Amino acid sequence: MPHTLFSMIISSLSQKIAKLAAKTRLQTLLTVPFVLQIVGAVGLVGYFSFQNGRRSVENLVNQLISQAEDGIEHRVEDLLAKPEAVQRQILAAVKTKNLDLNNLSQLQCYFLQIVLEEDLTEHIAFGNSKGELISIDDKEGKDKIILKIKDRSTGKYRQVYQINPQCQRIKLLGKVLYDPRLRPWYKAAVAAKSHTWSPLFLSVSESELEFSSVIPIYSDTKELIGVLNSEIDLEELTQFLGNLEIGDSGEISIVERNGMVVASTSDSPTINPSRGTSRQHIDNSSNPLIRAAAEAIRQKFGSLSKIKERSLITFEYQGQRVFAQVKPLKSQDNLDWLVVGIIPETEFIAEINVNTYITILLCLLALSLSILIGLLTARWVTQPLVRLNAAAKEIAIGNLNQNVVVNRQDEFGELAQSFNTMATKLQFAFEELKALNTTLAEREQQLADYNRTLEERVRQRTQELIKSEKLAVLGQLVAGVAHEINTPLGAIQAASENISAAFERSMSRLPQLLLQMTPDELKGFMVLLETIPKTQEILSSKEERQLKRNLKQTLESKNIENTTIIADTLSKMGLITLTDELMPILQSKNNTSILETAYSLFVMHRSNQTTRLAVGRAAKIVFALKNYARQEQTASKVKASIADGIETVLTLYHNQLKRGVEVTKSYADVPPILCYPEELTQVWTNLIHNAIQAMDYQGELAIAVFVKERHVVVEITDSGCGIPLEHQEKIFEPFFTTKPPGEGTGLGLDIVRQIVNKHGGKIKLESQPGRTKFIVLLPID
Amino acid sequence: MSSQAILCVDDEQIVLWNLRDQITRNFGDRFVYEVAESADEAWEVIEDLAEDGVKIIAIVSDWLMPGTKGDEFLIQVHDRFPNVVTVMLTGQADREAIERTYQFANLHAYIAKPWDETTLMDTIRSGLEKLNS
Repeated sequence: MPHTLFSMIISSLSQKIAKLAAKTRLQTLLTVPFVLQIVGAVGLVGYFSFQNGRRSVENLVNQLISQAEDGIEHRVEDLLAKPEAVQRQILAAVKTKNLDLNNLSQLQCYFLQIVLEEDLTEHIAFGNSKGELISIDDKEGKDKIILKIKDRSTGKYRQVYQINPQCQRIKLLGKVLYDPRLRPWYKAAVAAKSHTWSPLFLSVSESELEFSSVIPIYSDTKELIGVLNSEIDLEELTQFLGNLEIGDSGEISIVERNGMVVASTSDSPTINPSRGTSRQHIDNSSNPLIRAAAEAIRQKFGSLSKIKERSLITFEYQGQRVFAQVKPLKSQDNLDWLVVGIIPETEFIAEINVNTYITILLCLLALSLSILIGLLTARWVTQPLVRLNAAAKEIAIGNLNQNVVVNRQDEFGELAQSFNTMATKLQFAFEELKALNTTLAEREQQLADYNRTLEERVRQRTQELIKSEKLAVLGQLVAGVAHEINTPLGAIQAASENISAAFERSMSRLPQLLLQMTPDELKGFMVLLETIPKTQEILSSKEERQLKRNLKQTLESKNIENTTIIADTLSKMGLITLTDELMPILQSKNNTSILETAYSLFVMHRSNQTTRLAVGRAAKIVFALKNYARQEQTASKVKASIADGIETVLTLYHNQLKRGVEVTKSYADVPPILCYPEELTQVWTNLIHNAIQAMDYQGELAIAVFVKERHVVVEITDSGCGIPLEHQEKIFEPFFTTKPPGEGTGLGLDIVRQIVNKHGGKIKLESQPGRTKFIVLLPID
Repeated sequence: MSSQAILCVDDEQIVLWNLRDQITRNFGDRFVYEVAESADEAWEVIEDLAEDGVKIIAIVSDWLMPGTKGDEFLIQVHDRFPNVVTVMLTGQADREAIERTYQFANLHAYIAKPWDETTLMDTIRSGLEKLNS
């Protein structure tokens, strides 16, 4: 997994670089990596030289401090070695009985001799187990030899005398309550049971710090006789440190393991506040640099007592690096001091800085040079490319006549030459292409012309197809239409013959009849003639027969003769009620003759009526036919009633419908809409024709017209066998037909759909056996 | 009253009225003249007349009518009354239907609308004469 992740990172990185490179100019691309390399190399060199500088500083510091510390060590060794040697001589003298420790005056003079000796020790003292003390010192800087004595003669006091080199007391300087056995040096020797170093302790006067080399002296019986004590002058150590040179601002301190200062370049080992003297601790140094070093050492080692060997540490002080080196002083047994050397880096930084500046300068110089060289190289490399690029761009715009001059023998020269050759060839090729293009354009034009012609032809053919579909339907209609027209024509012809016949008959009979009639009969006749034209109700043949039967009964009940003929004639005239006024003519012996004459007059009237009706019928058919067959397409939409269009079709199909189709019409109050009425008529024709055929001329045809959601909806529902599901999808496709060949073009519903689409409408179909509904939706706006 | 009847069947009353008047005028009171607007009604009339003891001797029928069409009706009539003179008077008819009627109803004549009165009357008359001979 990590490997995959890594390779992913690598690939994404390389992608980014590639992306970046793709956007960059060539000149930059050539220069930048060059410069980057130089910057990298120079940076590395600079970094290493800086690091080396630091390391050499550390070495220098190490050396410097180590030298100082070594010097100190020698000095301390020097300082401590002599008193011990002196003490061991004294011890040897005691052992060889040359010196009697009980003879204090002998001891006094013996000690004086040692002290006066140059370069041995400045102080020697002996305190015995009885509490007596002899001490001689000739400390540097004091031109007096001092005797400190406590014996039987001084009692509990220790007396201090100035003595002369001849061992004679000159002057009593003072006395103090004293017991050597209580002093730290005595105790240290007793505890160590051999030569040792006392801890640093304050003198009896508490004015100075004392440090001694001590050795206990035992009798042959191993009983403690006393302790020899030589004080060591710490002042001398301090002075030595003061003379040491550790740079300009280096510091050195010698401290005990508990941090108490023994000697220091900055501090005195004791501090003298107004009351009482106490010891200086390194943490409380008057020099802040030393305090900071102490803090850094504690942070590094925890405590001073844990330092085992020489160690160099660095720390920050006031924004500067400071070196501190600690070293345990191990030159003497039983002495456990530390030397702390401190040097700030500023001592050397000046030199390092100069080095760094030089490095930086060199780096910058190298950088500038490399950029310059890089730019020049890039320029040299890219110049021909830039020229080629410009030429290529010109070619891209269309200026093919390009010649790039690159006077070089290298790859660029070749490239330029190749480019020029290419440009020339391109120019030729382009001209050829141009010529070809022109030809092509001409061909294209021709093709477009063909296309247009073809489209026009297709349109014409489609138009013809639509027309032929229309004519096919018309052909089917014509047979029915013939019947529809012949029927009224037949009626008219018969009626006209009947009128003539009736006129003749009435004219021949009327004068004679009028003369024969009684006034009552005449009155009845007149009433009858007046009633006839008012008989508006046309009775069906069945009703007429019923009427005839009723009349016959009535007439028989009134004992009238020739009831059958009279009832027949009256019923034919549709006379429902027999008023009293009519009775005279009915009861007349000429009743059949009178009624026949009246009937002749009625026939004239009714034949007229027949003619009027028949003419109306024929006119309606002709009108519908004319509507249907009109071939010219209306150029623009006109406002027309949808229901009227449907009615036209129903009229044309009247004879087909009346065979056995019950038509239910439900026309809501629908506004006229903008449409192509002739084309819509074709829609209704197709749908109604299909419906009748689907029902095989038997069943129910429901036509509903209503408005719904800004659409005129026409629903044509038939009770036919329905359209199988697998045909429902296809019936609107052109040339889809289930009729035998020759009976349908299969274009009907395709044309219907085209026309409905042309009106921005929709046509839908819901079909199941016994109920097939075509729904046409036409937008009102 | 005559015991013989001539029946006219047509779904158009305007045809029926004028046809009846024509026939009545030509044949006078020799026959009873009845009309019916459909085949079904025609059968009713035939039944009614039979009750009164009147026999149908001739039928003039349209072809295209709601319900039973003329050819079928005439064939049915011929089945029950083989001697009835059958005349088809129509504005338009299938050639097949006419052929069938000739074959199965012994169709006496087919006359197209609009018809000539004399032709029609002569046809009926010739049919009746054939019947009597």
